[in-house]
Amino acid sequence: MQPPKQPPRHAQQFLRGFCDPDLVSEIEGDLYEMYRGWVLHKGCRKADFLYWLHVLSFFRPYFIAKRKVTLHPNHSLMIKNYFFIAYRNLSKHKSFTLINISGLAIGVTAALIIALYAFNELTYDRFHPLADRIFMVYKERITPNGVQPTYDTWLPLTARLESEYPEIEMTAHSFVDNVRVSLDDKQFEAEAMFADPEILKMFNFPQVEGNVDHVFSSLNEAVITEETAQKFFGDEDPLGKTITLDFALQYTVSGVLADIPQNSSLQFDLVVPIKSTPDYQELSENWGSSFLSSYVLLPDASSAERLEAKFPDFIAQVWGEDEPQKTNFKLLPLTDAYDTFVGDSHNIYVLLVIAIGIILIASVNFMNLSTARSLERMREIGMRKTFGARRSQLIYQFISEAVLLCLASVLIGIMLTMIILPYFNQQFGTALVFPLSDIRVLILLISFGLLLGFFSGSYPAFFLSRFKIIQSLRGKLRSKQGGIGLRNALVVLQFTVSIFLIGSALTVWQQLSFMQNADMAFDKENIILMPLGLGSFEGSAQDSARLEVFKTQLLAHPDIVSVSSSSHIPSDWAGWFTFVQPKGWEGDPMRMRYTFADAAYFQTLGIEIQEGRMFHEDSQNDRNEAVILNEAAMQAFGWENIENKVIDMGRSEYQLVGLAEDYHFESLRNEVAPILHFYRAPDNGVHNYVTARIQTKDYRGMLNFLEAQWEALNTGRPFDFSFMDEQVARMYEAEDRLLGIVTAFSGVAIAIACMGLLGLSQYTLQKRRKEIGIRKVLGASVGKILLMVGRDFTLLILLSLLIAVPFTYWLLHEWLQDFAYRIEVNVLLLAGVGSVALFIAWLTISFQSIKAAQANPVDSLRDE
Amino acid sequence: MKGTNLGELQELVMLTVGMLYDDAYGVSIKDEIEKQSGRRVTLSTIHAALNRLEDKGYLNSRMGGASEERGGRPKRLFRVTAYGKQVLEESRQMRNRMWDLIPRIAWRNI
Repeated sequence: MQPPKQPPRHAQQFLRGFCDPDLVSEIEGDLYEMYRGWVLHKGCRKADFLYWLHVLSFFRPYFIAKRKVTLHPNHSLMIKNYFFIAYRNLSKHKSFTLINISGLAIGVTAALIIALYAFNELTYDRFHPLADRIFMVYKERITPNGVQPTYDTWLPLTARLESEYPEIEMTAHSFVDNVRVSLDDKQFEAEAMFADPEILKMFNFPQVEGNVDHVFSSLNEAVITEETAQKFFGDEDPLGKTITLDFALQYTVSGVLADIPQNSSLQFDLVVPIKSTPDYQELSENWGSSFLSSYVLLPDASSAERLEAKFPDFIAQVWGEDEPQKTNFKLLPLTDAYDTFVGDSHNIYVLLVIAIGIILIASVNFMNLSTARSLERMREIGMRKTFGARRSQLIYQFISEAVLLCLASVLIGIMLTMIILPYFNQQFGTALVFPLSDIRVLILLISFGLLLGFFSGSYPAFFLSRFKIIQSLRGKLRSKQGGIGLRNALVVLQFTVSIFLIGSALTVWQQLSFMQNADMAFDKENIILMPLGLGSFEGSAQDSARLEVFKTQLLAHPDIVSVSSSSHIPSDWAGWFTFVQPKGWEGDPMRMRYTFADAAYFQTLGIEIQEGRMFHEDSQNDRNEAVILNEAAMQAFGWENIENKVIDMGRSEYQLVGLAEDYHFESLRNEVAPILHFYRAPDNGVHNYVTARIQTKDYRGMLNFLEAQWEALNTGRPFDFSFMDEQVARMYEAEDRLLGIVTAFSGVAIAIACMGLLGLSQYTLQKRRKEIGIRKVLGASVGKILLMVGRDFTLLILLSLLIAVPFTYWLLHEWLQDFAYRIEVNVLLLAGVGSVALFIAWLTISFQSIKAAQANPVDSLRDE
Repeated sequence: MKGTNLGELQELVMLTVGMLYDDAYGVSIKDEIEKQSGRRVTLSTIHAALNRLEDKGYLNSRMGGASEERGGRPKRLFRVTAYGKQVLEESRQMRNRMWDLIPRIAWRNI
């Protein structure tokens, strides 16, 4: 007869595993009885399933065996004791404690600062509650060379979009412009945002005074930020005060906004209704002039794609059937504004990785140093074990020491961060705040300290408590014990990171100085710039005459060689574009940059004219019919020389009169783009800069003279100036900032790596004490012993070099590809960095080794 | 009153143990409850109730013989204790008393 089918074994095991042993046999009996019935009536499979189901139904508190938890009555007392002993141990070895705490604290500080910086950058514009649903409408020009995004849009756009597409919940547009603000007796410069009142409903800029629903109830109301209020009115109440913009428009302050957070892509000092601008009516149906940013609020993020799909029809409706082939409308999520307008979030993730790396290296050092230190305490461990300490108690002991150290480090790190942060902000132009009042941040940091302490302490704790009493009392370890491979790997990692960071800092610096000192093909020395701006003169009628008077006055000075006015200057090249084509060209017009300059422009800036001539002053022909190209534009047109060349700009034609050398009007990050120079436009409003070339070292006297002339003009705008070379340097702010950050962290990394090395050498020497003693007895010199110990580390650092150099070379090579004009990565330089690392490492370990080598061998050998 | 409070299922289990007299153990109680009340209960619920009732002293148990049909495991046979009987009776009397106190008019027009 076949034996009866048995219930599923695993289910039974499971039941026995959790069930109270007093109850298990009868339950099993009952289940078995039922199982027999199920097998008979329902089949084996179903029976097994039901058996499992019933076993699981017993898995509840009543049946689960209560495990006995025994707590030693002295337990809580002991924890206090552990910390007490930990404290005594730490204060007995002050230098060790100092190195360990400061290493971790520096690591924590570095990581905290990076984290704050990264958090600030990654939360750009996120403080608006509706941020996920706000989109910026922008256009893409479709050209044969790909699409070019531009972000300026037309005044009638938002109203039309809103009436056309009901899914759009709200729209707003705005443009920010530099204005002159006059109070009763004072004048200020300010960034004014001309906008719809909706902008304050869509974006959440918290209001201190006034109310979103009421401001802008009439067209002569303005809202200012707290900072601006302070600047304008001091401590007086700003509400109800009158301000005048650009000598013409009067507003009453009706609301005050909290200061605009630094991580907002919209930045301004005051807001006025866009409808109050004089040419609003005229522009409200103008689809030709684009100058403002348009925002739409959608019900959810996913509707953006559907809306984008409808835009081609819209474009055809407004501009005609052919336009959708040339232009796209797109929606840019506000949350992507950071990557589009401000920076590159890739750099931030790289920084975060560096922060994690630094913390990792710092914790590893901590472990190394603690392990090295605890080896000296083998005898203590042996004694404690002899007196009956259990292994768990020793583990507690070591972990509480580590936790104490880590908490101290975290606290010091927090304090260091708060001390350093203002300098960091000043250095890098950021406005980071340490959110210490946020209890969650504190809890996070303290639990980080606890966790780190636990993990860093656990290795020595579990490793050392494992030894038998005899072993530990003899204070002797078998040579291969203690994860030598792991520790060596960590040293290699530390030095690889350090070499990488130092090499990067040097390469970034090389590229930066290459760009700053490169021949820009124009002269940037001895040039003073004076910005003009549209609002500088009250009326436009005499603008031209007044500007000429100013220029003539300057030229009369013996030390001023040349004076020019122009719409742009190299280093400040706003995106003016126009469509042009060579006369007779069949294809699509090309999109090209253009600028207005006077006759003295090329001469003043020292730009070489390679063929043809500069503009003729007072030539009526040049005024309407002449153009000067740069070499890049010649290439774009496919022209070899300037003979009889004419460009076609739709309504008018221009004769090519000259060819200018490719001068770098933008950062060397970009290749020189084609530009068209036109001779001064009929209306002088387009000239934004006066440029003067001087030939004196007496800058003070020169500036006094310029200021006096400026005051005599009585423009109502304060005298402002800058030197061209400073202006050029300002183009490289991003690179400069990167250099600063990488340099700072290379310092941190090398410091931490050296601390690691110190720990490791301490550890190694500790283990080789007897060997060193014997060698000394047999006649080895201090130098020989130093060499012997140093050899191992040298090999490790050479290995790091072997890893770091190719990796660093590759990464920097990739980074340099972003620059149109760049240096090559210098492998010798990287090798040089390696030698410096080696030197520092030698310095670090020599100290330890010499101490060990000079010790009296009697001390290390006598207990054998 | 509070100390002797019986849950409905617990009362059902005790009554069933009484009915089955000498053959009251997990499976038989479960089957009988299903038969009498028509409601399905899981074995673990029965076991939990039996153990709780024994802890309170309303039931006692002894180990029965092991049989082949139970895979060689013993039965635990339950009996109602004198105290348990008293609790059951109290519960019954309380119900009866309350039934008696319902005025006849309450049953009209239902």
